[in-house]
Parts: sequence; C-alpha cells; structure tokens
Amino acid sequence: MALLAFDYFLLVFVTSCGLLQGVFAFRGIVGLQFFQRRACAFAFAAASTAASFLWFFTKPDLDIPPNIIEGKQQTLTFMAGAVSSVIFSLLVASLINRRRRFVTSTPSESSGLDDLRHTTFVKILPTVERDLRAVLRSLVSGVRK
Amino acid sequence: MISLDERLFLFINGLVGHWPFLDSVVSFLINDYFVVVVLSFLLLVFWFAGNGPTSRAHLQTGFIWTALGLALTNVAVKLFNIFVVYRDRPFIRYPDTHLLFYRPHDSSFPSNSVAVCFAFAAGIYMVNRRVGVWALALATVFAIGRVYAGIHYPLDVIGGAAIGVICVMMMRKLLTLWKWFPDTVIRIARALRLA
Repeated sequence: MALLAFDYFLLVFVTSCGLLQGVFAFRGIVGLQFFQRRACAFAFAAASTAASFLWFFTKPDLDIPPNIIEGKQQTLTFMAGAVSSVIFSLLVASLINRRRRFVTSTPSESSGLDDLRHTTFVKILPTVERDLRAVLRSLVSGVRK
Repeated sequence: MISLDERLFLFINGLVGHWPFLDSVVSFLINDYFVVVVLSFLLLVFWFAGNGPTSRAHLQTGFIWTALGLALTNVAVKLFNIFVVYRDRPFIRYPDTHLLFYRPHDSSFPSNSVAVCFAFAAGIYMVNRRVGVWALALATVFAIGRVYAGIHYPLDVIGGAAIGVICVMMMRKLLTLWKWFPDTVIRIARALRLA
C-alpha cells in the first residue's frame, strides 16, 4: 500500500508539473516557465500527463486489496504531490530563467502571480518575505482589534 | 418484496457480460482514482488559470469553497454512516451479482466516492459552467458505472450525489457570508506570488 501511495504521489507530481507548465505558458507567466516556446510547454504538458496516466492506470495490481489507498490518504497524497510540484516549478523555473532578460521591468507594487511575468520567484524572494510579513502583521492586528 | 431501487440495480447489473468492451471501460472508469484525480487536476488548474487578478480571484474563491465543500462532504457521509443508516452492499444481498470491482466493506448508502465526485463537479460547475457540464457528465458516468459494477444500488449513488452537491452549495453560501475567509487565503497566496 505504501508503494502504491508513493506511485500515486509520483502520478500527481509529474502530471501537476506538466499541467502547470501548460497553464503558465497559456497565461504568459514567463518567470514560471521551463521553456521559452509555448509549443514546447504544451507538448511537455501533454506528454507528462499522458505518460504518467498510462504508467499509473495500467498497473496490473491497481485496486486489488490490500493494494488500495484509502480516501483520507489519497487526499493527503494528492495535496503533497500538488504542493511539491508548485514548489518544484518555482525553483526550477527560477534556475532556468536566472539569466533571462525580461521584456518589461518588475513593477514596484506587488500584483501577486502577475509579478512573475517580469521576473523569477527567487529574484523577488526578499520582496515576497516582506509582503508576507506585512499581510500576516495586518491580519494579527485585525484579530487583536 | 424487491424495491424499485433493487429492481433497477438488478437490471443495470444484469447487463454485465453482454458487451466485454463496455465492461472493460467501466472497470477502468470506476476505479478509486481515475475520475477523482481528473477532477482534482481540473480544480488545481483553475487556481492558476484566470486571466488577470479579478478573474483569478473568482476562480480561486471557487477552489476554496469546493475544497471546503469536499471536507464537509466526507464528514457528512461519515456521520450518515454512523448515525443514520447502514446498508449492506448489493453483492451481500445478491450473491449472484456480477462484480467488476473488489468487495468494499463499508456501508453502501450513501456512496462516498460518488459524493466526492459530485462535490468536485458541482464546485467546478458553479465557477465555470462550460467545464462544469463536462465534470458533471464524468461524475454521472462514474455513478452509473458503480451501479453497473455491482457495488452500489442506484439510491446509494443518488444519495451520494445529493450530499456532495448540497455540501458544496452550503459551503458556497457560507463563504459568501464570510467573505473574509477566502479573501484572507487569497491575500496570503498573493503575497507568496501564488495567486
């Protein structure tokens, strides 16, 4: 069962990485893209999704007790796989795009995900930390009032 | 006396074995993972798919109420099983059932997996009708497939679907009143450049 859970994690991780690349390319969030060409990102999305689904769903012992994943564990594994793929995308895209010259400059005010159209996540990490502190501080002060 | 529900089950399950290709397709579709995973990925894509902050915030609010609706669905199904009714699986009552699945041991009513699928599909439908129709169609095929495969009565999947849809609708209503909650989650995610 533990092995199947790990396989399920891999399915979610690989497929999420692919789908996220497709979405980032579609929306032009350059700082999160692994590929400069949109077509490559879409091909990567299709290939990773197809390959991981084929690999996982053609397992001969899938859904044969005791080789099953209970609902709660399935949810937690999915969340772990999806969160890992987002973190992986942030870091790998930052590494790949570290020397890239972005067309427009970084905006002075935060606009969330749209900031990553102009830069990479690692480059704005200090700003992210500052903004996160500010948000948390305002939330805590709001609760105290 | 065989109830209408059981007669309908016997009719649908009685079709197993007539078309081997259909049996294979249903066996694949009704496994514990496929439909749930597809709907989960749709929801994950929704988080990032908006074109601009306003559209993204709309989709992300939908993501949040669907996720919380799913949690509520699971709690509701558990409470239902403990306090309201325990129903044996059809293959226990009818040993001649044509099974296309392993033998689950939990209560037949309401169908937990169908409740989860319909919670996903309803949440997606409330955010984007075009995609939501496909999600609902997939959830419906899944629900009928569970009856065809011999592990649920029709009433089990209807009950599960109703619980899933109602839970997501309740969560949507609740989060419309408590708008501060999704707004706070989105604000934190935006500071992290994830929204």
